[in-house]
Amino acid sequence: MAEEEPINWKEPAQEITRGVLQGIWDWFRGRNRKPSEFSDPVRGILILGPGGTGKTTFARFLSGELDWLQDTTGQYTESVGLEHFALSDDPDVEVVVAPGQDYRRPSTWPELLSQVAAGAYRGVVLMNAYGYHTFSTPSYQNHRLYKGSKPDFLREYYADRRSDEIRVLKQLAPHLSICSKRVWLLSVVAKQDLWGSQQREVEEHYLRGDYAAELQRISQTLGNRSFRYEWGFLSLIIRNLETMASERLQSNEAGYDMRQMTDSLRRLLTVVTGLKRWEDER
Amino acid sequence: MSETTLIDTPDEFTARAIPLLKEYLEKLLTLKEQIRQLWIDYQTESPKYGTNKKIIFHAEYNNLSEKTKRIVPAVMQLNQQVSGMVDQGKVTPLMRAELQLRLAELESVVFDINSSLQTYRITK
Ligand SMILES: Nc1nc2c(ncn2[C@@H]2O[C@H](COP(=O)(O)OP(=O)(O)OP(=O)(O)O)[C@@H](O)[C@H]2O)c(=O)[nH]1
Ligand SMILES: [Mg+2]
Repeated sequence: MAEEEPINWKEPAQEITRGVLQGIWDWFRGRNRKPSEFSDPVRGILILGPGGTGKTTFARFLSGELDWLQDTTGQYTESVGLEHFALSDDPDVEVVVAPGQDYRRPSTWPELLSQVAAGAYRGVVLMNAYGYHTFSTPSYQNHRLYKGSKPDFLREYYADRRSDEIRVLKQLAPHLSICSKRVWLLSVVAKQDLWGSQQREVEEHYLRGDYAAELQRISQTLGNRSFRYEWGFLSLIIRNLETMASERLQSNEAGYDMRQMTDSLRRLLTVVTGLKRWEDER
Repeated sequence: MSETTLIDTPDEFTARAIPLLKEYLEKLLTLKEQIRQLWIDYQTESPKYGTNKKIIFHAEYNNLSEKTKRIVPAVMQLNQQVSGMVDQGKVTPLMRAELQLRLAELESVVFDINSSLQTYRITK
């Protein structure tokens, strides 16, 4: 008998991924629902998080602006201002992506955060990457945390970025806590291809540490009927973490493949379905 | 992986970046003004071009547009590196402030010049 045909995951993975992304996007945009089923038709979605975590990538894949697997050069292009994703047939509903670099926040975030408090968004996607944030100082050697040793730098850098993720959540929390309408929060931990083998540590970090405590506090303030939060772990691109000068900081994990990628996306779809159901509860 | 990439120290970086930021701010401002002036000239009656007026102005507009399209991506590449230094680079607070100010100006003119190309478009 001929050798067993190796399973080609590329095509099915592509189909599954497109399907899942399309499903999430349709929900974001409130399509496929009769007008009477809209919980609140004109409230958009806000995607927030530190710089280089993958917010724009996520939004561009979701909206179909980038086709998954077709267009994955993965070059980091920082966002300099707000990005709006709206359908021409329904310009009222928007998915808004905020630029994440620390120094860019003061020019856009205060207004967005007061919109959150005023109930302008039905949901907020908070993007994290377990510290594996892309940055654009040309080399890691001119990063403020570099003191002569690359391993020390990496340790410090990831820790610093993880605390920035919590800082962002803490900045958002007071605004969410006074949100005048029902609102959900979806915390996404992207770049799973870079941390896949540490799933337990990652879950520990987010589901039990300071991060979870902060979410718990918002939840206690608002109550389950007004606030719901969920988790998603995913990867959209399989790519090493590199600097602008192509220095490798973190390799994508050997063994992390499209199968895991699509498994995570499927799980995300389940989570999203839960949020959707919660939105529809009266 | 061996890392043989040439990199600038933070001091070298700022010493090179600042003149570049100044130079390209000036260049893009000039280009933006040329685009606007061309449109104004096009609107004012001028018999010397005769029936070729439209073709000539369109060709000139195209030149400016092409030049912009070549310069802007390279400027954005510079901007992103500067932005990285502003956000997380090893620079003194004053240097950070200077880079941030210069970057803000250059980013604004990049934004403006793209809309100028739309606003003052001259079609055939
Ligand atoms: N390995 C890996 N890289 C990813 C993934 N998602 C995004 N990236 C890369 O991470 C970098 C940053 O992505 P962006 O989407 O631009 O990040 P952002 O959050 O919009 O960043 P700002 O605009 O600065 O706030 C890019 O180089 C992406 O290709 C992922 O799932 N895995
Ligand atoms: Mg972005």
